[in-house]
Amino acid sequence: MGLALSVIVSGIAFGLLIGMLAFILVFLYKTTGVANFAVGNIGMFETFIVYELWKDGMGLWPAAGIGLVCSAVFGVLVYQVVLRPFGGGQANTLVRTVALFLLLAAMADVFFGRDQPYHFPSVLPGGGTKVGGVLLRWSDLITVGIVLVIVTGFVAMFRYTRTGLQFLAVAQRPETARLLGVRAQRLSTIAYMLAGCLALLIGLLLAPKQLLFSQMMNPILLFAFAAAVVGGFTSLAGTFVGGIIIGVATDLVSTYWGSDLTLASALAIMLLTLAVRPNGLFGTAQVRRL
Amino acid sequence: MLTRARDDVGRPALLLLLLLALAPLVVTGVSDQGILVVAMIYAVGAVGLDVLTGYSGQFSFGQFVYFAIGAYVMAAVRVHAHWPWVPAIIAGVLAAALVAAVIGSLFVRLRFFGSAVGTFFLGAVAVDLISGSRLSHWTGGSNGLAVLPVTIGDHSLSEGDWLYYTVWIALALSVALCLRYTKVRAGMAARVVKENEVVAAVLGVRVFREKVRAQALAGAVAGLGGCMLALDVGYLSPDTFGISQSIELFAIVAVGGTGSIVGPVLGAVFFFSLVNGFASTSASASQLLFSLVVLAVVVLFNRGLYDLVEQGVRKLLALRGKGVPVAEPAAGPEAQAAPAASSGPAAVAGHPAPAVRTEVRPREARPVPQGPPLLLLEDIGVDFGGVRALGGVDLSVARGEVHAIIGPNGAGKTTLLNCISGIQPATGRVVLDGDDVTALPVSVRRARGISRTFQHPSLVADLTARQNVEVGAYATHDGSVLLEMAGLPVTRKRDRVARERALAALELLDFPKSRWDVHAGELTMGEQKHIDIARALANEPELLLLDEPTAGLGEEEIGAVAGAIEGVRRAGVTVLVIAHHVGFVRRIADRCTVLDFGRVLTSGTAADVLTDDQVVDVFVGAGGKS
Amino acid sequence: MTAVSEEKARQEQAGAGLSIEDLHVRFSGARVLDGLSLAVAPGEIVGLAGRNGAGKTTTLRAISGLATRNRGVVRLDGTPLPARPEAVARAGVAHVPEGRGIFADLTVEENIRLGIVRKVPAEQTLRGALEEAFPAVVRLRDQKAGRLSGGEQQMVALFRGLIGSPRVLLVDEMSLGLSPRALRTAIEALAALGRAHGIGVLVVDQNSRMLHEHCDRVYLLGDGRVRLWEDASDIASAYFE
Repeated sequence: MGLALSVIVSGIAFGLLIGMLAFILVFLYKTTGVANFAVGNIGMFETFIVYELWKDGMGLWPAAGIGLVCSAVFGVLVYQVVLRPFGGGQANTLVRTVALFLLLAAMADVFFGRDQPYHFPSVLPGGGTKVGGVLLRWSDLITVGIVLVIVTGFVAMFRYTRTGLQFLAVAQRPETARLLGVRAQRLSTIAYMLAGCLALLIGLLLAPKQLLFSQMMNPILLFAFAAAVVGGFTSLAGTFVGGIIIGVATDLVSTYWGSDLTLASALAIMLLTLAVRPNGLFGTAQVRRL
Repeated sequence: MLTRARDDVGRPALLLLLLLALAPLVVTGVSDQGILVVAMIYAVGAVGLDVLTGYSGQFSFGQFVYFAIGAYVMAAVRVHAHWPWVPAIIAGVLAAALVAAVIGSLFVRLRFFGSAVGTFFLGAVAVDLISGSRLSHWTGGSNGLAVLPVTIGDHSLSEGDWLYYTVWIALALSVALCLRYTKVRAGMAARVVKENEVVAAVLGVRVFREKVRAQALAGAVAGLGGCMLALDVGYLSPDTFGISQSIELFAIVAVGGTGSIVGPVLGAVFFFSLVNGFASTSASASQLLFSLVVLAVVVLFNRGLYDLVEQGVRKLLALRGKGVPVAEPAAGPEAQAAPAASSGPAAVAGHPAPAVRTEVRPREARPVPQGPPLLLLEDIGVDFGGVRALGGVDLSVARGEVHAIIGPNGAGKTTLLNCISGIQPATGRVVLDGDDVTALPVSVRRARGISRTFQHPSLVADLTARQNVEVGAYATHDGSVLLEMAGLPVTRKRDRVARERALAALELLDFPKSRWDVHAGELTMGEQKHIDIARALANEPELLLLDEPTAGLGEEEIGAVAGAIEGVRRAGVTVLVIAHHVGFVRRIADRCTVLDFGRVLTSGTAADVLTDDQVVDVFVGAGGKS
Repeated sequence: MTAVSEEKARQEQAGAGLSIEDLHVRFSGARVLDGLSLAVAPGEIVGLAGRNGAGKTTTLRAISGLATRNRGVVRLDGTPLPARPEAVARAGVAHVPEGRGIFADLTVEENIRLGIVRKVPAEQTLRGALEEAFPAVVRLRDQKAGRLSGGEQQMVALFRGLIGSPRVLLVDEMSLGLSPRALRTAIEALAALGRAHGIGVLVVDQNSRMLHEHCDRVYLLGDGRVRLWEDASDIASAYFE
């Protein structure tokens, strides 16, 4: 029982990371109209940059700071160079993100050597505390804290700033938002800036746990897709709920049944949710016209 | 980028296959031939993926799952069950097709994005399962599985020219199968499904089944590709079949050009030669080059290489043959892709609009047909989430009459047609020719003689006008796709009947013969509306439902549509038509029903209804009167 | 031409307000607008009527840049309007779209705040005048806009359209969802606000009698062009040809 509870707690922490990646996916989908397959690898690549800086003797925190700035710039480049020019249709843009996914993995392999995976220094303290027989790791608790701070930040942005309000407007009715003078491309650029930074954060929290290598984000990207679908692909809040569901379920499955079934169980949860509620737990039906 | 589904790629396909067959004469190096072999193996599966995306409008980012199934089943039944290699390959292909059909039917309900994510997921799950311990007895787990040598006489099919031509035969087979599929009834139906699922359903297509059949075909050729890959590598390990490979395969199709069959082959050859030619130093460097080129192509030429070649050939031909018409048959299929923007209007100017009758004359007084009604609606009601779209509509349409429905926006006109054709569930009764058809699905109502058109014609742009009508002429979509592809006499007879019915419909509408073989994408809006009506007529209906056949047309074209409807009426078909254009209604309608706020305001002869004060108020507005 | 419209024509030549010259719009080959010209002077309320599918909504969309203008010029105060909708909005054209374009998940107040297109000091917005004209909106301020009735949503949409004090307001399907009484109140308020603040208003509706009653002039749209409505016979020909 104690083991199960510990697994659940660490599952929640991992679930919130999944939820954060899912949040980026949905946020980008709602503001730019495209679900970006490359988001995970963007975070992976940025984490490599921080790692290289650290290896060259820089402190971890300054390296992370520089990494954050790079991430913002990187996000802007992704949008302006890869996604925006010669706007194709939805399918074309999707393939662009997939190509970017491949490109970033290949770039990491070429630029950052073939001795992968690397051990990444932990940003967070080790150890933990026992509460009622359940082990709570500091790293998990801090992860939960960080995600909560970020969520609060986003909620505040959506509620109290003009840009935040415009994000919501574009997400709900892109055409009407343009009629109200909202410069959608500027917003998309900002969205990608934020997405770049969040992706780095996920990479920094994930790399110490599961080593740093070019394919490190593939599983969590899949979990994030599952979380986004479970939460309803249009609901920003739903992504975190979906993330926790996927995080806890896959943690339990891999502990008790074996790790080769974790992905399969996430896929099963996603398909089951769709069978019962085609628009996810919090999604709204999309009206189709003839 | 997913809009094309080309029809005339037979000759380019033959040419490319021929070139590949002759390539070993020029490409003699062992490693260079090896590159072509890998390219052709990818192409075997890429062609199937093109059928899936380009011709049936579905997605797969996990197609290497079926490569894996083909390869592993083939290798495993040889190792564990000691099968000879021919049945082993057949087993691999069939297993891949079967699994693709099962998984496809699970994913069919997911739309564009869901299927992209779902299949991507599947690719990752498959690798986990193959390398995991659960299936390791069959797959060898992460240790891999040796492929037993395949020989004919003393020759090993795993090396040299024998390998090359074995793979070439597999590719030729895959291309031939996929090309054939696009020509038969199932492939035609899939293209309508891609264009618009609701329209396809109304034409009698079983949407779900057509999608699953396309999945199975794509899975089968991917399985064949997997078997070839097994021959080539000689040893199967899970990471040969990862999600990266699936994504590369999709990228190859996108870069080669979807909806062209030839494009993906071109894409595969282009990539493997380019990547290996420039970056033989390291695997990751070639990966880098590969993804850079994919990105560059999808950003800069988002229609793909085939389109680029097509345009180039067309320009060359135009340069060489000044004065010679470009669309001369010798110009080949490349000439077909005339960009609608530039040549469209010119082509239109050269051809007379169909059956133009500009003079508007009032409808001669004609007795309203008597006798039992063909269509009887009783108390039809529809709610959209609490909003009453139709509130108890009664309507009777006599056999042989043209009955118009008019009314303001949002009055429920299209919803009423949807109820009659069976797309929209409703309360009340729909009675056709004395039989209650309320409980019957769309396809059965179609078989009973109800056909319809849509506000937006939804024709398949890459099929000709005549082919679009033929799709409507299919009495049934039942039957095995394999038998269809075999071209048995029964099938041929069935298709001949469809062709004759299509011709009859086109002739009935007086559609100019010179425009019959023009791609629907190049027709004017007026012509498209005619073809939509012909497609509905080709099923030889008793009752034809027309949804705004005049919307978006100019005066002349409206006159032409009116002429066409008069022809339909003379042929004895009953017509129920929604229209906004009052002059048009005056000309064609025997009777007229006015809908307002989901109810029948009044019904009677066109002349009476259109002078009714209440009706004038509905159209011109009485809200401001006070 | 009546004396009033001649006066307006002179104002147009002076270049104030919205003017459209020879506008052409095509959708997949079909000509929707075919040389449409009209003008709206500051402070004037103009109606645009026509049967279903005549191109009324397309006219407004072409002004805002939501539909591509294939030929012709749209000017605001003599300057050609840009092609992109957000730039048109920033130039001073507010557009209440078909179906009102209310953000259902946002509150009424948030909806209204989105109407302040350019950053302006609070006292330069029309908030005060609008709150007088549409008192119901003030009461609903903190409600989610999706819960409002159709009529209330239309009020919010008009409020949002005017709050940033645009040069021109375009209103699509004015009467949709409004009772005759609410419609009368709303259009009278629109006319008064427009006159008081020099805002040109272009109202599109099927209900041409209502337009005729409340607007300074009414154009009839047919065959992709407009002509001024002068008497009752015009309307019959516009609808019943």
